[in-house]
Amino acid sequence: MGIVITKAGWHTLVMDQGRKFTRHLGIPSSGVLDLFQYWWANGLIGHFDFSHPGPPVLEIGSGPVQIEFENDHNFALTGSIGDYFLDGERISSHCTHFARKHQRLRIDSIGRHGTVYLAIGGNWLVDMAYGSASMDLLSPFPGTSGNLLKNNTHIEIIPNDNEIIQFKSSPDYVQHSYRSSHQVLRLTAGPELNLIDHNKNTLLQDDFTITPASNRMAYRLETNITPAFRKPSMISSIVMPGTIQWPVGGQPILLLPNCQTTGGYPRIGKVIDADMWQLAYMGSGDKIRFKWHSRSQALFVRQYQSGQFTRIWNQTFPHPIKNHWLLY
Amino acid sequence: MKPIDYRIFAFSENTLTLQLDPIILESQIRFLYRLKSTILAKKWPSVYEILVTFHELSIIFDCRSLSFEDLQESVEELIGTAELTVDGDTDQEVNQYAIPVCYDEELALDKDRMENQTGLDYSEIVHLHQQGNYIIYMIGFLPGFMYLGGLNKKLHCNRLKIPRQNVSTGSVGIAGEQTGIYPMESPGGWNIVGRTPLTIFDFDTSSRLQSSGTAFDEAVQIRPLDKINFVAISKSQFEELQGMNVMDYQKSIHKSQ
Repeated sequence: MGIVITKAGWHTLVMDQGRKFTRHLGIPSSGVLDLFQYWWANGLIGHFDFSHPGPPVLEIGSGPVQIEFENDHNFALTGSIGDYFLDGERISSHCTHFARKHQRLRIDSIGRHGTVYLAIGGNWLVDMAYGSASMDLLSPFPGTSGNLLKNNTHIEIIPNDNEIIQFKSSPDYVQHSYRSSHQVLRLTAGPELNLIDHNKNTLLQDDFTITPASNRMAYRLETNITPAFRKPSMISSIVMPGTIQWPVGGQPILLLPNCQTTGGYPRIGKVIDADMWQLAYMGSGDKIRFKWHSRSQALFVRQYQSGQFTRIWNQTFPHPIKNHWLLY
Repeated sequence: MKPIDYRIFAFSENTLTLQLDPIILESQIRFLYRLKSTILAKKWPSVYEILVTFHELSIIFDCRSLSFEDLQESVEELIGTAELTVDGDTDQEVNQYAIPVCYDEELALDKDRMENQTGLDYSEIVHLHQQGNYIIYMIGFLPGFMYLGGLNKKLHCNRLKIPRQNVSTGSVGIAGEQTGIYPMESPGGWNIVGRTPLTIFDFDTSSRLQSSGTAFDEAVQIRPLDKINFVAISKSQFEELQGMNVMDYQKSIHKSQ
């Protein structure tokens, strides 16, 4: 009962909102990068309560992926644009679909450096580790909580009988009509920014290119900026998703949800919460420019963005969204 | 009462960080954990998680219902109270754990490097490493990786210039003024002096844990501020103990005493 991922592609994994309260044990938080698209995919299949850790979904980073349904299920795809087919018939993202037993969903291709969230209705019986089903790259957790999905992985999903409303489309605000390979990310100052012996605006004057040595733990960046540091080293301290570490004499590292919990490199900034979702749609070769924000600006943007999202959710879906929290 | 020198800043929209002197000091780490348990006991609303590292304490809070400024005021008020001086005692019960280590040459990958750096004979290095009673400062870097302080000065040693791609589970290492145990296979740059056969962090049982509250901490067998001492074992004892849970080992040695 459930689904069989007959073709898994190279980046298909189980995710939810991650492990939020395990970092004191050295366990990364993990979880989806674009919480808004994760919430929306779930909204389309009737989930509206996101108490920790939230319903699992499949995160898909590249096609082709093929999934066979073993029962009747509703499902929805959100995130990047791509080519999606149900039994050969092209289907759209950002709306509710019904799959009958033995039907096949094919995700042929996904936009460059894209991420697709596939929510499937029912009760997922997947491996849990420390309260979450999210795949962790670092920890050797069992099954889908510690590994990328392989061809012919079976995921047990108990169908539910709830009558759900079928949504034929989503408002533009939650669609991804546009992405650029040249993004601006806003940063707040990090605790060791003062170790850099330059005006902080020097860090805004060049591109930061994502290198191929990147993964779900971190984007390794490359830039021509070579800051001088006042001190050669620091004591290991906490880091979190969005933190930019800059090893003395090296190249900066932008940490992602699967990152380790502590680090010994100067923490020069942090991507504001409101911009974290953009990282789900970037990859090797993409260029980033940074822009400094004050904490109050970051809070304002965060509040505005969450307010807009909640308003559109409540206009679209019959149940208000509950217990969601923009926390990485 | 010794005044505390600190700064408080916002690490992120949801995180307040208190930072002390950038040094590794037992009294300082005790203060931070004491502050953590004091804040947790007060059950401040909208405070979700507190993380302690060598010289920092970070509070994860819900910025929708609590402002950074209000939280900062509460923290500063608390630090000003007499119950939280730097020199105070910790109320946490401290447990002692013995960790068997096989220091045999084939497992002590950096034997020669350690001898060169310390100028000591390997048997002396092993003797000094065993003599120490180490305090757990924090857990980080890897799941269950304990940063142990209190290493004999004679054993202080630089990290490897080029980290190893793969350090085996259970490897015991030395870096700078610290020693630690790799709970899982990982890349790493610490000088490896031996290996423990024990399972320090059980990744398989973790899947049975449920999400809420304190269950996490029950899974963590060893907590910060607990003490660790190393006991040398032979290669055949190493084979015998392979995979034994760290807690079961403590029971077995208490029984045999």
